[in-house]
Amino acid sequence: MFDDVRKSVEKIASKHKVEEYEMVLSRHDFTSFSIEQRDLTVSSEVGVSSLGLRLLKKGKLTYASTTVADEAALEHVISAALTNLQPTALKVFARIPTGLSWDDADEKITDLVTRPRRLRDLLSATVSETWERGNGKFERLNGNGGVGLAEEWVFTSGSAEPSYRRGTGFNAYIDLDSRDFEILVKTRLPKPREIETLGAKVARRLPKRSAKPSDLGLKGKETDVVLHPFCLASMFSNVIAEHIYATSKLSGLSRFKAGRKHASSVVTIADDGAYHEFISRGPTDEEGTKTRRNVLFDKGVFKTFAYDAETAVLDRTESTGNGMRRPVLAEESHEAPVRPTLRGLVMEPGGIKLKDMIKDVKKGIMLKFLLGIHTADKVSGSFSNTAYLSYVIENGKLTSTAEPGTWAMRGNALGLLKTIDAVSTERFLTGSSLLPWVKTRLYVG
Amino acid sequence: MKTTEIKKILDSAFRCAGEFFEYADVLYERVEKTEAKTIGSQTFITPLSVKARVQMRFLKNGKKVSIKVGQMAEADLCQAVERAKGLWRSAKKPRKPVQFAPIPNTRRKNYAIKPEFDLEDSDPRKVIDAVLKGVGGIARSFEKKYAHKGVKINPEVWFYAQDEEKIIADSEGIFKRQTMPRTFLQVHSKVKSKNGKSTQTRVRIADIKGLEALLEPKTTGWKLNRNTRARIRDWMGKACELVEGITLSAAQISKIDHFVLDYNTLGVFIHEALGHNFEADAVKAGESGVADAEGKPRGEVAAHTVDILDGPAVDAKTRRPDMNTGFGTELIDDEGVPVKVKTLARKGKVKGFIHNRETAAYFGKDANGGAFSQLGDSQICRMSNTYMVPATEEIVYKDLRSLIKGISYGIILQGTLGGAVSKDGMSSSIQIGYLIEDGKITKTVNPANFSGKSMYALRFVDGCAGDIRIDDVGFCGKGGQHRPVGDGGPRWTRIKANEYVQLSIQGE
Repeated sequence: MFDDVRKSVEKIASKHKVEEYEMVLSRHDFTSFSIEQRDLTVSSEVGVSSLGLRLLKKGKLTYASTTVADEAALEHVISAALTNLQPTALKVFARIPTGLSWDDADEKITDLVTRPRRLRDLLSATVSETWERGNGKFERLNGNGGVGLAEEWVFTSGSAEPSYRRGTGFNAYIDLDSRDFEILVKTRLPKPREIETLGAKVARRLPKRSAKPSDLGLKGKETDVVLHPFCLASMFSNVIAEHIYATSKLSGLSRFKAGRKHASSVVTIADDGAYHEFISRGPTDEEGTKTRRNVLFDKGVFKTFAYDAETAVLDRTESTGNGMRRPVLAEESHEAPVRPTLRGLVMEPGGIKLKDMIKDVKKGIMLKFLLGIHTADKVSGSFSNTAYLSYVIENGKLTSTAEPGTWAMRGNALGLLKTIDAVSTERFLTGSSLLPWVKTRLYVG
Repeated sequence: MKTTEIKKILDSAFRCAGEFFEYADVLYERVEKTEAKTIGSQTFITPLSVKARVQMRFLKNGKKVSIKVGQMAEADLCQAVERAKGLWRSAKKPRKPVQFAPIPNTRRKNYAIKPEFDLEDSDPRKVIDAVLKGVGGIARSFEKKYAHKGVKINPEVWFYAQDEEKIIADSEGIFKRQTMPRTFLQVHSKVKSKNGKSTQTRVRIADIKGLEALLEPKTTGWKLNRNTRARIRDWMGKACELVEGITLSAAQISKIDHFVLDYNTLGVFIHEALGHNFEADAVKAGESGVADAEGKPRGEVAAHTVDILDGPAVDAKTRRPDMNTGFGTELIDDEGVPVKVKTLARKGKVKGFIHNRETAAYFGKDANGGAFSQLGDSQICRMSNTYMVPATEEIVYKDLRSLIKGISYGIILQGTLGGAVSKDGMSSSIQIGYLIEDGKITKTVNPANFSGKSMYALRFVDGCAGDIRIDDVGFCGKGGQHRPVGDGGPRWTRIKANEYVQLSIQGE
């Protein structure tokens, strides 16, 4: 597939006297089962491909994208793109080192994509076991489970060969009564028992009652909060990351300065797009810059901003391998502009077990999700959002779920980094981050 | 690709499918888009992107299989049919066999919303230039106005104009095609003042129109039209006002006797707190707060003085729909069913749900045009424009002044950055507040979060004023599929403070 598309792009680019081009071509197949009570419904995606292009001509840059990679469609988008060349700090695209070809697909998953009967049986088993172990603690079970195979080529016209990655992914998700859920995301097929026991794990820990802040006398007060890795990941991706991106530094909107302490000493966190368990790992970023591990905070000290090739030129430094097509809302990634983007967060574990962290809390909450955290003020870091799928902590125990719509949590995501006073030894893999549970304090509105 | 060519490919795919399946249908969606974005100090422009995908569904013996296909080509579709056969064998038979409710009006083939100024006939450079220059000019005028406060404004612009085409066909001879434009502008004003305070507001202007949604022609190109300029000015001005914004303590918040919501704030509240609960697939899955899994209403969902509707905007008195406006409006849904105005709640009580063909058959109802997909994804039940209208004149006030006159300590909540919903609760982000003391607006209040329990929050609506607006526009992300939507209600709605809503205001 790559060779055909490359030839077409090269032919059209040469016809239009394009000096350099860069292409990101991807293709995936995916099969999943959605779960509703005991019903499983199958769906699939076959040969879904997309192409994102950047072109340099007369020192100016333009974008084009399409999902239809035949010659006529390519001519259509490329000729339109060349009518609107924009000034750029980029002189050339990356020269991709040779030999950057990763094939770490799990053939067991590849097989399941086209023959998903075994996947169905594993998911059916988790559904049965969840109902059995649930023992009347829940009424509704929803979820899904899927397997996928993806390929991506990143190529620039000045390179001898593309960087290439072929990888697989597995995910399963079980939600009980919209009160709690469990998720399993892996690049290789998990052991059958890991899948089969997924829902039962949630059922076992689900308390029967829920509580409001007023039940604990916490309304309007500051309280201890244990942030679940999911919540920490969403704080990073929605708010904190904005201050790490070189674009924010260049426009004077970042609150961070390299070499300054912006987080508590217990926080050491890196961005690692090559981490072996991340679904989206790859040998290069989407500009062809080799992927590397960048330490963002070392014992609380902010170390580096995330750069793509253009912001690196503008800031007279080198790209950190964070040039990715980061989409917003209805946009697909191939049509998004290249800009600095975190690839995958890996935080160093701490020295306290999660159960001991919870034991230390007299009254508080374990936050798994903050509803609408994407609406937080990205400039100041302030947020006030409602707790969802969270647990109330009383006298060191998870005693109830947080009553929906009643726990309005108020704080500042940037300030929160400084008030983290404990980090768990355990970490949780979300598929694109590996994070521990952390303890801090927030206001209950 | 020409329609005749597509018909030929589809005929061949249905022939392949017919050898094994009882029923098959296809949704083909294609979008051509011109887009510009400013992020920080950089501007990204894509003069043209083209995307197209296909969704195929198959039914046999009550089992359904759906497949997203990358290309509208005979080989790809026939390969998908082969894959579908294998998947069907792996699929479990559901407790209740899957059926699809019939598509009404089978004869009508073409549906179109025609733009006044079509993207296809315009020079993308000039269009994008007009948007970026227009917004930049407004920002510079505010910097001058607030020079004494050292205000610097960084407006981030996201603009797109697109032409959309979709075709729905099935193995029983249905063939429907819809074409329409959609134009969108978002201006995110990031303000930094001399005293170090950073503030932000966001405004979105969008409609199912051509470039006329935002622009008007001038001799050498385009310029922002009057409505667009006014709305950008309004919200950029609010970002500057927020430099002086105050926060309220928990004690002050507990004193509030009324909340007054503008149509944006109300709209996202309606969408998140109620709308999602009326999507029949959520009802069927037992995830709805307003009805149980059999569709039996759990009780009242709003005050008896209001109705909740979904669909194109209606005239408040005659209830006649206007199919030519509303960011979420389409003429047919992604299953070919004509879009209807759906009364979700009548006088505060559950009246109906938003259906796709599958849930309509499941609940024994008619399909009502509520099935949408994001480019090749499966057709799930979706809101289009969801809004509140007064069911009785008794709660309608003349204007904002008369609406707030009797409030001793209250707050106006304006604008939104979006929201989120769970089964029982919702959360909505407010861009700016205004404190009301003894019936008068006294201070600007910082951004906030307004949350509530889905079933109860709107039972306390006790007044409204102004015309019905559904142009709070956004993208609903249900099931990972983003879809353009509108929401709203009266220009101003008053809610009596109650134990089911929470307000939390950001600090200084």
